[in-house]
Amino acid sequence: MKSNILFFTFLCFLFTAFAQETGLKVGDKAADFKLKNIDDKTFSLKDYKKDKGVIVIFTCNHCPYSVAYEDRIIALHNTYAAQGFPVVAINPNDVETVPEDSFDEMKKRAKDKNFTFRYLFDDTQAIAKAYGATRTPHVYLLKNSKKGFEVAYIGAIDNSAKDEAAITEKYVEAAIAALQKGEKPTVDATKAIGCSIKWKKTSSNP
Amino acid sequence: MIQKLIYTFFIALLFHVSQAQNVKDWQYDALDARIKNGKDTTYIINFWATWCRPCVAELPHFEALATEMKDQKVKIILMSVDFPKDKESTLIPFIIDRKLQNEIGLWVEANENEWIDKVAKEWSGALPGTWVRNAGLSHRKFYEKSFHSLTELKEIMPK
Repeated sequence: MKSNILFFTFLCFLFTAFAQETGLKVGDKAADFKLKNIDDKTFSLKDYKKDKGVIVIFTCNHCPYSVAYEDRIIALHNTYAAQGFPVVAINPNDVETVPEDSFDEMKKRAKDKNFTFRYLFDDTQAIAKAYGATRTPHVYLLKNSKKGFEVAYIGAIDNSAKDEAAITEKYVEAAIAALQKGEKPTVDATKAIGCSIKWKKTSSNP
Repeated sequence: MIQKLIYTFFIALLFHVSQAQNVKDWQYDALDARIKNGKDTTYIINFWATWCRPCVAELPHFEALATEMKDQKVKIILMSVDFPKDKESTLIPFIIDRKLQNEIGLWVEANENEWIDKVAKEWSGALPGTWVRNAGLSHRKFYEKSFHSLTELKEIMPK
């Protein structure tokens, strides 16, 4: 009996260690998703097979860093969708924790801000977990190759969330420019401050 | 009597405001130098923001830790990453309202992609995050998580 408990504890430990190691890295095949858009239609990566890539951005309504980036996200889509790199925004937050991030509130926000890109709801949080997203906003730039979509860049949109005037590096734009030339992005991973993703409460995450 | 009360009230208010307005701007190098000068003092730097719910929820545990550790060489700094433009309008009223006793700093370092790595390679940048350093013990650890109790928070003290 005791050894069973020990073994179970060991398994839990392994699982925790493993869980922290999961998530996509640059070069990995992108995880597919099937999520509901604010127009109530469901979209997956298959809907982008004619595109050269997809700018997946985990974001939400309530987070001030997401709000600070809204206009820049709209601008990215307006510039790059026509070039074959549309934005797909995904809200992964737990509605119990953050009621402003509910599906209805997403619809309102998209209407108020005239979102031209798809804004999907990851209500089970499975996609955010599969990608390894930790914060909002958190960008995964996908490249469409013969093998399907693969991750080309992970991180921030640029290097100045607080002050657009102070931006000196536009990471996503630079990464797309590299892909358009058939090259790998020189900077393929960056960090940024953001709101932690509000995970659903479970016994291991009180 | 009423006059005296009003007078006391204004003095208290003034004191509060002057104390709260003493929120210093911090950048990495200055903070690092302070920690090194502190030698055997343990610094607990909590990165937070007024708009970050899990951060606000754990602030009372940092206040309680300060009370518990008041006779030890422990310094807690609540380092806000609120936007600098919101310092007067949001951060300072929040500090007054919550009667925060710990030292508050405002993090004004610009290039996030550089400074987050300087603090801790293992930190993704999600808030809250707590950095524990003790120069004398060469102790340096980062916790990208929320603390739900004082007991849980006490576990981060270098042993």
